Amino acid sequence: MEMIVSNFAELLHPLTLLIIFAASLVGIFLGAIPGLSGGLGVALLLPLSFGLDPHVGLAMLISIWVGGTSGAMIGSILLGIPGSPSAIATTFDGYPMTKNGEVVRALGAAITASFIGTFISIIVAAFLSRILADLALKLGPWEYFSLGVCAISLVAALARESVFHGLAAAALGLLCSSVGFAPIDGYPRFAFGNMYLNSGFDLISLMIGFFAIKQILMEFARGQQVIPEFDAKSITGFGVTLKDYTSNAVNIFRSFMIGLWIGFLPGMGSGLSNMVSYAYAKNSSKHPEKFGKGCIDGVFASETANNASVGGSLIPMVALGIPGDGTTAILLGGLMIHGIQAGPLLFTNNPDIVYTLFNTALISAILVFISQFFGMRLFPAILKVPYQYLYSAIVLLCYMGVFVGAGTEFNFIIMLGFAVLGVLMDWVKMPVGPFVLAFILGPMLESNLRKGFTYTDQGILPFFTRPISGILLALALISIVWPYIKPLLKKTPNQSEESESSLSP
Amino acid sequence: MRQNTILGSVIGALGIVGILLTSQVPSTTFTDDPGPHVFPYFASSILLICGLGMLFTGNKNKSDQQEDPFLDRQGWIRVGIMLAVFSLYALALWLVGFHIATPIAGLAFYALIAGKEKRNWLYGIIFALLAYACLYVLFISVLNSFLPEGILLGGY
Repeated sequence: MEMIVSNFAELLHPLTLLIIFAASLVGIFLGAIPGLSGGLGVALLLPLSFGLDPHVGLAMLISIWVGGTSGAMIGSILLGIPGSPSAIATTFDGYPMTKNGEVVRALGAAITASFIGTFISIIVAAFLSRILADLALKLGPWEYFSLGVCAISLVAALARESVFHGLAAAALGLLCSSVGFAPIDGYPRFAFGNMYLNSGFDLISLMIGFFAIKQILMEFARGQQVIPEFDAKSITGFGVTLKDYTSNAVNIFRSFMIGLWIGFLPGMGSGLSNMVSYAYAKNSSKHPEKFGKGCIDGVFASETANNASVGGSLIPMVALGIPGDGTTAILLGGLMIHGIQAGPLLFTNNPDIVYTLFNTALISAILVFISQFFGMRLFPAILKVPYQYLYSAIVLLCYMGVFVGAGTEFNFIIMLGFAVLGVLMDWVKMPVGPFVLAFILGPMLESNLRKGFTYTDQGILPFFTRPISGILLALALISIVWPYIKPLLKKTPNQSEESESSLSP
Repeated sequence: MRQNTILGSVIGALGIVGILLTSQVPSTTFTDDPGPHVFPYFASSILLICGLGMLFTGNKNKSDQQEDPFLDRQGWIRVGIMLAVFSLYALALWLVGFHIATPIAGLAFYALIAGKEKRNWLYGIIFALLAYACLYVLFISVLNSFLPEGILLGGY
């Protein structure tokens, strides 16, 4: 308890608090702009965290993420264009509310739902991570390897085109993580005599290439979106009544639980939770016909769920070292850059870092709530920012960040190479998520695989015969073959109609 | 459809290349350690299996029939132009360093992204100089970092 309080005091130091506040605002800003996201902000500022104290650097990254997840609703409500996939379902009712003259009520509901989702999910995550980490301490290298394989398979199985596309992306990520000195014995692999590749592909260059440069390339190639005008004068007051909250208490609780659970599952972050919770809210509503026409229940459901996913995805990242989504994968990279190994030993070796992660998220959630509450009238201005300045500034920042990370111009080649790979992967419908997850988890997987072989004289057998490891590998296998088994388990016509109608606004 | 077949061939070929390259990695294993080959073999084998999977299931997939093209011809040209400018900036940073390359690149990025309709050279120059100044303050004054000095100007 004493450590938690002292950590809070450290984070409430004026300069640190200012950085958290500024990062939260940057997150809201990037989250609000269609095409950009808080995740991009985390990738962009990852190199800057290198020059800061680890606590301050991590606080900055967490704050951008929290702000970005919440800020995505701004475009959804004001323009009907979601800032990121996490706020797609918010457009279904948020934008109709704006058209019905209830813009303030919609924004008020979204702001409070975002706060409830983030704040409570972080508190739950702080407790559950500890319990999960204690359990994880009992796992051996076999279970860790299987857990990593299971996480990657679950993410790969979500590939839109086919499981093969997802798995191929993951395998490519694993192969890229093999470049450089091998763990345990340090044999050089695939460096082709290039000294810059001896330590593998630079994580910062890869992340910035994939998440920032690729995004700018695609936005430029597709041309700028025409953003409709919005009159800020109509935004006054707060709009939400106490009755709105009391009548949505069950809806908020259910959406929170959905968001927390989906955030916890690898690869299924806020992009999915907002859609699922919206569908549940509509299905269980007494007036489903109002959904899609400006019903506040839909805004509460979507915004509570996508923000609850923040806490949910922190649990496996902190307790197991397994990222829950793309942004937590970058955050995990941020920890690695500072020489901190996430996982069950984090609570023993670096408890202060754990407290920083959770406490910052709580502080940031409060700051985001306050700044959104008082800054509502400025939201339309965010959406009018000229892209030619914003994108150019982002690109320049990317180059400097990549150079500062390792001090060599060679990393520009890596950054641009992975940006091109990202564009090509998008083109052939190979998901980037499994690639990044596999690249991050690759070294952990390899060292546990090899330790698993050497700890017993039974070779590969314990990976399948140890109960937890066997179950995880079975789960991985099921997730891969499921898309091919699913069509065989025929649905009744009524069931398919229900599932289709529940997601339509 | 056809794209999946081509992709399957490329992915499968990558898997084979991965296996061949892995077989050339030197090593002496001890005890029961499978050595530095096992993991790249594992990844390459998955690539090969996925490539074969895409080849065999490519024609059964119908999802790409109704979708809009990923990028039109103009879009690909724009990707190429932007990549060329990005590469030139990387080259300029290596040759002449941050202080010369960054203001020029800032203006080039602005001009390219703004397009003919929104381009205003005066605003562009002001933006480029401001961006250079902000980066200088952030990285050199605040973070005490080294930025590219340019091999032609005595850097390394």
